This record gives sequence, C-alpha cells and structure tokens, in this order.
Amino acid sequence: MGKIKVGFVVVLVAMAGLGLSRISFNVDILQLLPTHLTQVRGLSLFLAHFALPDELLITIEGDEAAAVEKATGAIAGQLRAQPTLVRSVTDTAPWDSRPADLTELIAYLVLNQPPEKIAALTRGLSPEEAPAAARAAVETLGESLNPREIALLGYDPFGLAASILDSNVIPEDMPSGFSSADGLFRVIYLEAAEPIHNYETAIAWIARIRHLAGEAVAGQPVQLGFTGQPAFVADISGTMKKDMISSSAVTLIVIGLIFWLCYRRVKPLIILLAMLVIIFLISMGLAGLFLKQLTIFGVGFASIMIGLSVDYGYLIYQKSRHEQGSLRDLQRDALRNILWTAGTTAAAFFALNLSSLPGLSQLGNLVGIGMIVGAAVMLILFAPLTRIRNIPPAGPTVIERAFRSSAFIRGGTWVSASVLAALTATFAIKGPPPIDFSANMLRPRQSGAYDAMDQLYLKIADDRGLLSLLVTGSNEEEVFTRLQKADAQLQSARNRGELRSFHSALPLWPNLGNQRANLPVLGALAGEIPRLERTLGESGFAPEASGLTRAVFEQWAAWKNLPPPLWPGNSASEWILRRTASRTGAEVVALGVVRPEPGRADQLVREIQTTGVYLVSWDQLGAELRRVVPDEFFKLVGGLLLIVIVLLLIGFRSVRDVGLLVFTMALVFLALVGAMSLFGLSWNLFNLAALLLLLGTGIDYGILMLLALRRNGGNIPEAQRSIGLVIFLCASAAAAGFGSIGWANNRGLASLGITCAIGLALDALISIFLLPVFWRICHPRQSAITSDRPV
Amino acid sequence: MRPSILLLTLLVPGVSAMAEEIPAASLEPIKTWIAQQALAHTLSADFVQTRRLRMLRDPVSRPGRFWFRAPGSFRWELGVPPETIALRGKDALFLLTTKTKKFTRQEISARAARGGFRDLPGMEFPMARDYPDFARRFEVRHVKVDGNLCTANILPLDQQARKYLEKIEIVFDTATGILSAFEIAFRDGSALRNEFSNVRVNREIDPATFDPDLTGYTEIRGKD
Repeated sequence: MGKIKVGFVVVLVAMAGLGLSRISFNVDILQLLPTHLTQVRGLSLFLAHFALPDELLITIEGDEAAAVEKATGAIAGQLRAQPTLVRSVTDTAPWDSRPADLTELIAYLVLNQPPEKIAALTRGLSPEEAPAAARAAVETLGESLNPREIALLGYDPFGLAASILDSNVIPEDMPSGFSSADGLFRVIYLEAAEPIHNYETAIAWIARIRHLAGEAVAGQPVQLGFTGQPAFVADISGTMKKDMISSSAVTLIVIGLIFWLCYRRVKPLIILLAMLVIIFLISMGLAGLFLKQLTIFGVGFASIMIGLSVDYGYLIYQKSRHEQGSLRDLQRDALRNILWTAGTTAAAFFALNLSSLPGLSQLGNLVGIGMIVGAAVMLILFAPLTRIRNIPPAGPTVIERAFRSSAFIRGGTWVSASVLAALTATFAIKGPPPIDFSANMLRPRQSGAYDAMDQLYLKIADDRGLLSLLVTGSNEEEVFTRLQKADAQLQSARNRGELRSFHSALPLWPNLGNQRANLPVLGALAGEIPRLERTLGESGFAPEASGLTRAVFEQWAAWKNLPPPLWPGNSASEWILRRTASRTGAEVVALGVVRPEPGRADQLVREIQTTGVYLVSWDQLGAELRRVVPDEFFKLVGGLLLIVIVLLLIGFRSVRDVGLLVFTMALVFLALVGAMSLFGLSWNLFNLAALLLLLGTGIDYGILMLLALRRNGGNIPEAQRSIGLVIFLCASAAAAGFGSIGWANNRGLASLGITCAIGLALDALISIFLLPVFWRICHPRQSAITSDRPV
Repeated sequence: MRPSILLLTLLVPGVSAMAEEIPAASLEPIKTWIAQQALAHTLSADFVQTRRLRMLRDPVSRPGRFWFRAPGSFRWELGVPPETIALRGKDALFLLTTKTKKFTRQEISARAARGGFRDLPGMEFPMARDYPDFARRFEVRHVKVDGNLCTANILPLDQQARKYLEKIEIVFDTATGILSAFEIAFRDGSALRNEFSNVRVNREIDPATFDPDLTGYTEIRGKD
C-alpha cells in the first residue's frame, strides 16, 4: 500500500510537472471570442499581420518640446549602445536621416501608374520636349506661391513625383508616427535583438529596457510609457500569473478560515488543504497534456475549482463526524451526494464547450476536469484520512450550534425573505442591469501598455470611429482585384454620404499589369540621364538638381529584368509599407482605413465585407458580439435547463419537487439581477456564463436540501440542521473561489467572479432558509405529519 | 506623413538645433511689434521677392504687391503684372496662376482642422493675434536691435515645419512696427526673402481686392 501511495505521488508530481512546464499564458484577447465571427477573424488577421511581436514603443511626454526632444535623443542613444538587447532603434522617420532612400518608393509608385501616364511622362523627357519642361520648371520656381511646388520642383524638375502625388498615394492626414504636432509627445520604436518567444522573456527584456530608458532621462521632466506587443505580453501575462496565484491563495485562506470556524480542528484542516493542492496539481497536469496555453479566462480556473471541489471534502468530513459505520459506508453515502452534485456541476462547466467562446470553453474544461479529480481525490484519499485515530471526535461548534438553533433558522428565514424582497423591489424599480458588450470588457483594468497606447492614439493617431480595411488573398494579384472592388464600393459609399474618407492600400499595391507594361519603357530611361542633365544645366539648374531623376531611373534599370510583382525593399519603403502590406506565410494582406460618417459604420460593414475583405474595429466587434452571443447563450442555458429538468425528473420522480427546484432557481436569478442593478453591475460577454454556472452549481444546494427533506420524511428543522451547514460551507467556499477572481485584472473574468459569487451566496440563502418553506407549502400533508414529531 | 512634408523631408535633410535661452527683456520689441500689428486694420505694400534656391544656379527676383484687411483677408501678387496670386477671403484660400488660368481653392475651416504649416511661412498676416498666440506657435531664437531696426530670428514650434525650416527672419521698425523684410531659410540652404517698401497702414482698400476674379480660370482639385 505504501509503495502504491509513493508511486501515486511520483506519477502525480511528474504529471503536474509535465503539464505545468507545457503551459504558457496567451494574452491574445481575441482567442477568448467566437472564431466564426467576421470581426474576430478580421481583427485576428490584423494582429497576426500588423502587430509586430518584437517591437516595443517607448512614449516620451513632457511640457516642453525641447525637453521631450532631448529625452528622446538620450533614450535612443542609450539603447543604440546595447546591440545585444536591441536590434534597431527608430526615433525619426528613416527618410529623415537617409532621404535618398525615398527614391526607391517614388520609382515603385511611378512604375505602378497606368501606361498612358507613363507615355505622357516619357514624352516630356524626350529631346523635343525636355528643354521646354526644364525652362518652365525654372519659371515656376520663381513665381509659384505653392510651398509644395517650390520645394519639390527644384529636386524633381521633370515632375516624376508629381504624377504620384496627384493620385493621393500617401494620405494627407496620415500622422507622422514619431511626434505630435506640438512636439510634446514623441515615440521611439525598438526591435528586440532576439525574437521574444514567451512572456518570461518579454518581462525580462522590458524590465531591462525600462531601466536603461529611465537611466537615460534621470532627473529630466518627462514621463515614459511602454507599449507594443512585447509590453502587452509582459503586462498581461504578469498580471495573469499574479491573479492566478493570489486568487488561489485567497481561496485557500478563506476555505481554511471557514473550516476553522466550523470545526476548530488543525489536522483535518491541513489534510484538507493538502488535498486541494493535490487536486490542483493533478488537474493542471492533466490539462497541460492537452492544453498548451492558458488564456486570461483559464487563469480563473484554479480558484473556482478549489472553491468547488472543497465542497466534497466538507461533505465527507461532516458525514465522518456523525456516521459510525465503516469507511466503505462513509464513501458509499458520500458518493450518492457527490455523484449528484459533481455530476451537475461538471456538466455545467463542460457545457461551456457548447458556447462559441473559446475562453469560456477552456475555463469549463479545466474546472470540469478539476471537479472530477476533486471528487475522486476526496473520496479515495480524503475519506480514509478522516478516519485516522489521531483526529479526535469533536462536539458541536459555534456554527453547528447555530444551525441547531430554531431562533437562528427563524432569523435566517426572515433575513432571506427580506433580502429576496428588497432585491426584487430593486429590480422592479431600477430595471434589469445594463448590457455592455463593448471591447472594454476584454481589457485589463490596469495596464501601463494599454495606457501608453491610448495616449499614443490620443496624441498622434486618433483612431476614434475608424474602421480597418483588411483585404486578404493567396497572392498579390488576388488582393489587387479585391482591393479594386472594395475601392469602387467605398467610392460609391462616399458618394452616398456614408463615409467621410478612406485610404485603401490600392495606390501602394503592386499593379502587375502596369508593372509589366511599364518596366521595358522606364527601364530604358537610364540611358537618357546624360542628355537630361545637360538640358537641366542649360536651363539654369544646379548640377545636384538631377539627383532624384538619376536615382529613380537607376532604380528602374535595376528592376528591369525582374519578374513582377515588384516591391520596394529598403528601410524607408519597408517602414511605410509595414502598416499597409503583409506578405508573411501563405497569406497576403493589405491594410487600409475607413472613416465612416457617424452612425453609418454598421451599414458600411454590411455592404463592404465579403470573401477576403474585412472592415473591422473594436466597436464593431462589440456590436457583433451583442448581436450573436446573447441569443446563443440563452439557447444554451435553455438547453441545459431542459437537460437538468429531465435528469431531475428521472432522479426525483416528482414533478412537484422538480418544479420547486426550478422555482428556487428562478428566484435566485431574480435576486441576482436585482443585486446587479443595486451594485451597478452590467451583463457582459463573460458574466452571462454565470447563468450557466449557477444553473449547474447553484442547483446543487437545492438538490441537497430536497434530498435531506426526503431522507428524513419531511422534517424541516432536521433537514436544515443536517444539510444547512454543509450548504453553508459549500457556498462559502465556492463564493470565495469565485469572489477571489473578482479582483482579477481582466474585467470580464472579474465580472464573472463577482456575479457568480453573489449568485451562489443568494442561492445558498434561498436553498437553506426558503426552499423548506416552499416545500412545506407544496407538501401540506407531509409537513403536517412531520411538524408533530419532536425536534 | 503628408505628401508635401514627406517630399520636403527628402529635399531638406538636417538636424534640429537646440534653442538658446532668450532673456525676457529682449522679447520686448517683438511683443511691441505684435501689439502694433494688431492695430493695423488695413495694410498695403510693394515688395521684391528674391529666391535663392539650392537647385538653381542663380537667384530669382520678382516684384510684387501685398494687401491686408483685418481680421484675416490678404492678397499677394507676385510679378508685375501678376503671375501668381494668393488670396484669402472670408471662407477660402485661392492660389491663381495667371499664365495657365488655373486656380486651387481650399476651405479655411478644412485647413484649420488639418493644422500645421501649410502655406509659405510669412504669407499669413498678422503673424499672431497677440503675444501669447505668437508664443504658442513660434520660438524666438535671436533678437537684435540696431537703431530703429529690430531683427528677430524665429522658428515655428510645429514639428513638421521645423524639419525643413532653418529660420525665419523678420526685420521691422521698432517705432512704427512696419515690417521691412522677411526671410525664410530652409535647411537645404535655400532662402526666400521679401523686402517691403511703400508700406501704407490703415488706408482705405477696395473690398473687391479680396474677392477672386475667377473669370476664365479652371479649378485644379486635389493639390495643396
């Protein structure tokens, strides 16, 4: 037996170790959401292709532009000196330091122009027309009052760039991305020297960067912020870990306190807590075998599972104190109750798989496994330990005595009835809690990375009301065709007054037909450079005036023999295109922005979205979730309710008793919505699951009470004495488990915890004190008999 | 990343210099000048504009005329007879090219919403409503008073404008507030200087001066 136990412990530790070593945190909030939703797919595409995993953004803010500029330079300098930590540091647009790099982009954009435009351009460069064009440029430079014309024409006397400017290739209102107009807010972009593979690497790397940046601006009047993908990973993973550890610890402490209050026994308490740790390790180990990443919601499983599985321990311990039979009798007796309660609870949690929210499914699976493991561990390991000799039999404790007191039961009944009445009145007066399906619920409550990103949007790139246009395809040509179609639709929508402006990737996208037609013509122009330079000189231009023309011609010559699609590839072009085009993996994605007229976004999304074309935003995600998820959830709850009713009818074989349980649950839900209205809570994507969990978990309390009433022939005081304490213990532990995630950093998870904790507390009150009263009303004959019995 | 800015940065590389601290006392002439500008309800002047562009071998000079009426209407004519006209009326800014008979029009509200420096610096008159407005938009880098003439070097605080501007120099009479010269120096070494003469303040100006006569002109859309 000893060897078996040691072997069991070794396997357990090995499994837990293996499972725990495999699990990492996944901070992608979109992975919590239904993947079949278009908005989720579109936003996931956006994050996969345009959120750079190794890029950190440092924001620098102050009250004086000069101080902010100085601090930015100091940080950039400090970090550039750390090549083992940082691959690149970009604090100004790449073309600011290497303006010549932009010629490649100009060459590319001209190459994409229609052949007719290229024909006009080459005509202007011919020996017949070039001298007049150069003379006209000199004249315009002397008389123009247009600053762009004056600045540009000197460097581009033949108007190569002018042809692309007219086609609005680069939107005028596109922000610089490096500084606010007043210079009080600046951004530095960093790329990690090594790829950031996991959250621990991200946390360590950012801590080092934070330290160096802080050191560089020590004593300077600026505030720093850190954002971007590594900052989100570090921030959210860090708080996930903290949430998981703190909520589990708090749950264990509360469970210990409750146990101590009820039984005042140290050894059983230590054994019970050890059992809970074992349950956690086995569950985690098992979960780790099929699960690689824990989502923000999975984090909540530990405390919920501990809070729920301790119920079986309480039940076994309570029974062991009063039953004098053998261990087998104790296990058999406990098994009957545990089968019912663990069965319905695990079923409710596994039923979360039927929801389309992967985050909730993961939570459901983890807790469901935990429930089964918990029931097994308590029955197999804990039950024998309650029988060991050194646990002395104890007399009734304060709480046990309270449950034996008829005054306490009467008081409890009055309090429960008053609470129920007050919450019903609140519901009647204030109405149901509001519904909030906005993306805010997906965000952490506190995150420096989110705060810095908000500030960046506010100061540099106001994205309020903007929709992202994502166009995907298997190659450039397919994307180009879809972009053309989307562009035409957006143009029509603008003409109908549905949108203010849009910038699709089309002007920057390679036009294969044009590239094929233009390359032979433009590629041959390099041979004309000496003649054109002479023409410029004769017209009064300085020798440097031909620099741009020469560079562009040479670029065309370099591309001449390459097969389209041609993309520009130097650092300046990549910087401009990195938020417009992505060609990673098998998918090619183009990104643009659309600013709809207020109130027209929904309509626009419906009109534009089609195969491979997504028009997405976080607001639209909220709208889609609101349209789809509640309906799905209510169907799920309805289905589960039906299953539970059928199971109860089979088990109880009494329509009246099952009706009583359903009525009790209805009262619990009524009181819950009243409490939510009272405390200003709202329904959201995640705490809707509380309905499902309450149905699975909360109904146990009613079942336990009804079973007790049936077992003792309808003796209400006896039922309340025998099972009231167990329900109280179970509900307290479960509420502690859920309640402890009430301060989780993720708003959705926290709201789920709070809603469930309130619901379970109300359920326990109603099941212990009011259900027996309703039972008496439903069974007048039986209660008349039992009321004659001595208590 | 506006087109003009994007391309201007291509043309005028450089690094920004840190501003020197200007003693408060030396700002007094500028404060007085701004206050004097606010007293001008109308203004007209002749000028000669000289452009020394890095990409042209020789400087180019043109005479021109300027009119202003408070609160914000102005008309610049470059060339005699005018070759280009910049005119701001009540709602819009017009740029007319007389030779090609083409014009562009921009709503003032749309320009204001986009912010930043979109005109040739110095085209705006007055430069600021009052000194706090001036201090919000410009940094004073150097002030020198020589007799009645004050020369001030200033630079816009707008970060985009600073990328391509080296300095703006204003020369004015400290007693009358009349502007005698205005020069914009770009970071690529190019410069544009207006020398003013025949300045008349608060004289009657025909209101039609600020209404564009677009007869025979064709509008060009989509350009600055």
